[in-house]
Amino acid sequence: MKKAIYTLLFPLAAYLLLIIQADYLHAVAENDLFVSGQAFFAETIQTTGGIWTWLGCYLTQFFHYPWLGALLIVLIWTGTYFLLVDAFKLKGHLRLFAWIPVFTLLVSIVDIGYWLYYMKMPGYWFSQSLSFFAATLLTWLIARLVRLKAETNFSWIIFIIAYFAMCQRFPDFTHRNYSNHLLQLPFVIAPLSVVLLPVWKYIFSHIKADKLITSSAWRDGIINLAFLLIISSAAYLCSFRDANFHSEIRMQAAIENCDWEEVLTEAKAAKSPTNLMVVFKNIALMNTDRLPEMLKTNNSGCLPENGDSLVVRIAQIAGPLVYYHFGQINYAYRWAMENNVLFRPQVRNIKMLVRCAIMNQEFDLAAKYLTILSHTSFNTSWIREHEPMLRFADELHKSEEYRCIAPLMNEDFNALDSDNGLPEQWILSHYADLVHTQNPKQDHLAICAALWIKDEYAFCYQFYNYQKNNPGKAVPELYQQAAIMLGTREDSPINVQDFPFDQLIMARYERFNNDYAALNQSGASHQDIGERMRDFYGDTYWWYYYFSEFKAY
Amino acid sequence: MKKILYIVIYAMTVVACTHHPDVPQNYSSVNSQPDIYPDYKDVVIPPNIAPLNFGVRGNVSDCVARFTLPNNQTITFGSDNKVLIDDNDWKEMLAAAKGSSIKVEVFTNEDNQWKAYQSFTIQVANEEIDPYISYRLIFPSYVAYEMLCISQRNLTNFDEKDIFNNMMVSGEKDGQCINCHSYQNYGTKNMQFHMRQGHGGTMLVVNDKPQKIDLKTDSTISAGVYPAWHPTLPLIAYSTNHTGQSFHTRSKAKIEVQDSESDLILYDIEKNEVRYISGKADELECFPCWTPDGKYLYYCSAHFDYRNDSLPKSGEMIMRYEEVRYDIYRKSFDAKKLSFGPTELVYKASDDSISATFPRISPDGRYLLTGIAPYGCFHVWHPTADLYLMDLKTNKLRKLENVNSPNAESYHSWSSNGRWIVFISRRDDNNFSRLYFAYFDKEGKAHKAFELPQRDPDFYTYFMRSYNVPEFMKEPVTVTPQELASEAFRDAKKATFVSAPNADGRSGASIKVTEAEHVVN
Repeated sequence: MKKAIYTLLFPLAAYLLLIIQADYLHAVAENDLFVSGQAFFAETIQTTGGIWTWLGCYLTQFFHYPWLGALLIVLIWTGTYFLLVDAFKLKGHLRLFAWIPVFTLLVSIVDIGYWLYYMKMPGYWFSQSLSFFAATLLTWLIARLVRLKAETNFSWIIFIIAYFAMCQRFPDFTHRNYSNHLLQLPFVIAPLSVVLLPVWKYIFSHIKADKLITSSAWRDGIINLAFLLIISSAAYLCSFRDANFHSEIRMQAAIENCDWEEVLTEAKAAKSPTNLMVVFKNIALMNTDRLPEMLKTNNSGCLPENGDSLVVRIAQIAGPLVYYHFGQINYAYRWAMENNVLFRPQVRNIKMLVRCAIMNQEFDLAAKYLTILSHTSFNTSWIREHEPMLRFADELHKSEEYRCIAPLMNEDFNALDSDNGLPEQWILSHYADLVHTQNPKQDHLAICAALWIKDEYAFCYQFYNYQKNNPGKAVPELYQQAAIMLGTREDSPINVQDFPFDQLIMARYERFNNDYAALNQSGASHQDIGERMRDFYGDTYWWYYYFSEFKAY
Repeated sequence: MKKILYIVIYAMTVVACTHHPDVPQNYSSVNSQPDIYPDYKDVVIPPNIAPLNFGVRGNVSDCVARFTLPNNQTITFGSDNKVLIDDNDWKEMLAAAKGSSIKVEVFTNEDNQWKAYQSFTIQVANEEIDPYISYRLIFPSYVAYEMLCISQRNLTNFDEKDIFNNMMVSGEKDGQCINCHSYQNYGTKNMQFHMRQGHGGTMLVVNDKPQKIDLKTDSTISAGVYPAWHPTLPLIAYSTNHTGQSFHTRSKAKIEVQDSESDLILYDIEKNEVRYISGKADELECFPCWTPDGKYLYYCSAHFDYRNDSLPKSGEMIMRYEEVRYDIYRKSFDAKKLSFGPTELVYKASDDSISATFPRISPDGRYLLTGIAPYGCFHVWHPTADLYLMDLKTNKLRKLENVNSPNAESYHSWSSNGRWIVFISRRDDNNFSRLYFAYFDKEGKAHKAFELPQRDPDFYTYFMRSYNVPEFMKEPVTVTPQELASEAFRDAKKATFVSAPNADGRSGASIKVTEAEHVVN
């Protein structure tokens, strides 16, 4: 009984380690693709280890429900453990060593971070565990068939042969000039730990340590728990736990569901958001008609955590989604296609291709992608929601996405351009330079884009444009702050006297200037001044203008 | 492995689907033709084409197609919503119907009720099509180029093989684009294609022996781009191009591929020498094409004056992209002197506010087939692009009947007997290019085009790559991908520039050189 409990503890710990990253697991399913049918099978198995890739892709779909995907992979690992124990005739505490390859496989899933978007190996999350399981199964079968005695310890040789016979592709974490070989370590340690099993057996039998330790029940428990604690802690410490990485994933999911409040809740919780999180937040504000409040929450994005050598780009993480929600359908389509080609086919990209085709009224194309999607496992409701949009304009027009995006799609304006791989920079420059805005949503976006990238000339143009298009309407505080600041400059086209700016805002700007001058005279550094003024002026354009650095990636 | 799999799947499919089902006894007649895909209704096909397997659209749970041959013999196929025809039966059917037609009646089971649609015919021409065709398979992406391959397909069955696959030599740090495969006079002993970026160069195969050549010289603006083999001599005419891509923000055209500079050069294979054919600074010469007798070189050229010195040429080209219109010209060729005569205007497309590209002369020298769109040079991305035909006897141009669609038709080739045309079309979904074939009869009339047949009619629904640059071949390419890959890893042999007198244009003086960007279709 105790043995069974101890044995169950390890899968349970692995399951918990997985399930606490449910957002990531769901993203895994969205960033992979399995299409039932001959064409996908034929294409997939052409590559080395193709059968594992195919099976891996199939099972990776189950992460759509993180609890289910996690359960499946833990079952595979548990099976691997039992097969190892039996094939190598492990007894007593030696059995613990059979968990080592399992935990390295666990690490290989939770440690990849942003490689989620850059890795070129479809089905990675299951394929490695599956091929490892298959190699173990083959070892076990042969060991059983030839009735190898525990003393002979030939199982490791069989395992090595079986492992290579499985023809699994060795995962490659390389993108352009960047690579991370540390992420390949689990795939070295896992087979090595199996090969070392006879060594442990030899050592244990030689020093009789096993007998010594198993002589006491409480010692037995302590050793099991200590081993569990060590190995689980190691797996946890090896996992990619960057809060922004997970927050970005949750925000992406919320945006795909047009759940703007969820996006804003995530944004508020972020201490130091990435640029992408700032973009997501402002998409949510824009779609709830609150874009002029963009500085009320942190608008200064930082670069994403890249503990490894990967240089992360918005274009690859969420370029299509960002373009789509800024009404740039062609560019969203482009990046969904590029990412599908450059890295691996992904459900989320196929969905984006459907969305773009619908918005562009390319319904034959949308139907093609929907047909592909209909041969995946867990997207029926998504298809049911979008398929009617191909046939009934009403269905499209009443959707939340259309309500949000249509006002940004300038039907009569086409330009030939290129984003140089920097969606954020391109979108903001594009809207800041927009000459003919056509509705209030575009008015606000144009003026906020100019402020966001600190384009003073564009702001002045858009400020007058806003005044012209919105006569009699109250000017949002953010625009007043910027107009007051820029209007006080000698060469500014904005004459502060011409506008009925709020006296409180003008007074606050004066205080800002005075405080800045005082801190400057005290010898504080620019950065230090920014930090000390953040609490009082962090929500103002003045602070953003002077102390925040906009750097697109 | 792939082939074995296909055979197994096919064998299973044959067992399941190619039995000869009975035509239903009771059915209601429908006053229209069935909605089948690919659309093979009332087409003219060659007597050596692969089976025209098709599916039936709609809420169809079962279907039967009855084929009636000219001798009134009938044969049926069909299962579920697909009509998959046995290869041997099909060959016999084609042999029996050669020069005549096959009547096809389709019966469908919809909601447990059988329906009979109006019949259609498949006319079988007397003239065969070249047994092989090659094309590049590419994801319709924009800048990325993973998994590109140049493949050859046996048109008499469904066999497809890679001629070259860029993943054989591409690495993460040195990805390679491959393009512009071309053959000498429909043979494959002499062929070429380009490799850009990683392990770049032109892969030239002469008498089945591959060699990598660097056609870029200090005096030309780029390496060779669009090729045209002289039909008999060891010569290839190339365009040299500074090509770039930019992206439409709203237009369904999505992409614009433009040349900011381009010239024409002649490559002498035996001497490994390059010389100018035409290189006027204010002309964008491109798309060379020899007449079948090799006495003339046709090509396109757009007159373009750069006006804004403050912008780079590519920048101004982007701003004025709708002004670029290509006309068709030709030059006589003196094979002994390797020199060209003066430029002769063939068709001034720009006067009609259109742009003509890819002139292709029929094997009998009578017709010129060209792609036409309102502007630009890369018509596959122009949804309104169509194929036009010029009768060189009368110099009259007309839109080619029966083959065009509301979406883009582009890159086209003649079969070696001149009776078949292959072209790429985006008619299926305005995004993925597919191969279509049309019969071109002796009266100069084209007939309804049909899509390249596939084993599984659903193939095109799931296939996420585009076909481009279809070229007919009389025989398969025999040099292996491995041989080509092995050569690709070697250093390219550098071509030398020869300063040769020209009827017009440059005389070989050094000009500003920048590396051309590759083009992805």
